Amino acid sequence: MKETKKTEVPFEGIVYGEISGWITIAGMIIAILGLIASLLYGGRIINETGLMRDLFVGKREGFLWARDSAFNGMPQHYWFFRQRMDGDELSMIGIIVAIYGGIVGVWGMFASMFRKMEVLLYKKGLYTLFALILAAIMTLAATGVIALR
Amino acid sequence: MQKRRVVVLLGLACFCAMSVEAAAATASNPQTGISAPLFSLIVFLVCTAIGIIAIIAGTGGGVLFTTLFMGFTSIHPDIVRATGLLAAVCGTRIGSRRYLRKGIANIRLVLFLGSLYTCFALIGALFGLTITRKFGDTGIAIIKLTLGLIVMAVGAMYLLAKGTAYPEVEWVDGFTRKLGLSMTYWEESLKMPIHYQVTRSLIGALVVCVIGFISGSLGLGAGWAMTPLFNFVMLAPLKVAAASSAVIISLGDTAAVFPYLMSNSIFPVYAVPTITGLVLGAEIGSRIAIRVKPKTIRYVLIAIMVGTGVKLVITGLSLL
Repeated sequence: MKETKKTEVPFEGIVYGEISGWITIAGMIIAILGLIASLLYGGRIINETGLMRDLFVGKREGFLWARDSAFNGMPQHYWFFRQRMDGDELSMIGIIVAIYGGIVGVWGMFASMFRKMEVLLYKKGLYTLFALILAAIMTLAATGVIALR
Repeated sequence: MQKRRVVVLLGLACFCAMSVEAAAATASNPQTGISAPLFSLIVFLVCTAIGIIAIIAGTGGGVLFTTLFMGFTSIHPDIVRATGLLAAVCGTRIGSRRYLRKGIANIRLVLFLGSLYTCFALIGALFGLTITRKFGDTGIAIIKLTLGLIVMAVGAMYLLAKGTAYPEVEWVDGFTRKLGLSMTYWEESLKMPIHYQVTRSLIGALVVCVIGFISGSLGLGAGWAMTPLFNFVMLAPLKVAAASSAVIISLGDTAAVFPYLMSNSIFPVYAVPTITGLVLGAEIGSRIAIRVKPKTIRYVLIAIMVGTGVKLVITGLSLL
């Protein structure tokens, strides 16, 4: 006999998908608005004309930031939070929001596993541990603990 | 009608390669240059076309984007790789939402292999950045040469491999059984649940580590390798393989993008049109895909991959 009963969808998966998906979409919208503002009114941080010229001759990022930005050198991580907001910062914040969506989503997935003992302790909690490892690695990468010195 | 669509897609592919090369030539000329809005528009249009082709051919947009931009422009590999990874992350996240809501992605497979993929993608990203920093032009040559060879191998794999919608698992090894990876999902086209098992998860885990490393170091995404691995080797149903692969990439490449972000390799004027173009292209492509034979489109993709691969190998060798 053909089975017709719909299967239960893992809740922790839905939590990750929805949180990370929507935050990514929100981040992309912010980034697009920032880019439009920067192209229409010109950004204060990046000299786009110079950037275009140097980008296509294969200059590395250190050179680009030194010659084509107001920093005249490599900026500090998360520089866009320290300046007065304009198009350049807004689009970079949008990109950051989109990237961070994944981290928030993974922590959400980990937290949602506590909802049911059956999920939390499946295979002696192996999958809960995997979710925790994932969340920890991402957070360490985001905070710059795991980075190139 | 079919032929016309293929011609249109082939035209799109040529448009991608030609406009990338033309824009690069114009921009690098100090007399002519290129304005930022025009550059953004070109990148957006090219990436939309890449997104359309990639989704119909059943691969990720990241692999096409990175190879085309690394093959046909002089943009520094760190910047192309960072943008490629960012595009892979955003594209797969939006797709993952759908797969996870419908329960098609195997969440246990995602958590098990995703944690390995994430570790190795991160290591790969750090390794990739070290190569270009420590070895300069030689490092760039190594990156381009490796990418060219990998892309040609992927093209050959697409030519030979055939996906199976519901592979039959005759035997499940002890390691996989202990992990308890068997699951069920609702197949809308058949209006019934599909109970499935996977096998050879230890081999799968080892290969995922290698894929993660390649993805992080070359900024490729990993749809080109992960879906075939799950479907051919681990014998997961094709839909489950594609969905789980997308979710794993969305997790792992998030971690891999951070070393590039910390190195300030992301420039909004390049990254934003890329992401939006690829995501929009994937949306358009998923609608066209229903009406176009994927087999024919695969040949278009294979031609692009082999062609770009050869160009990358030549460029890499000339830089050495």
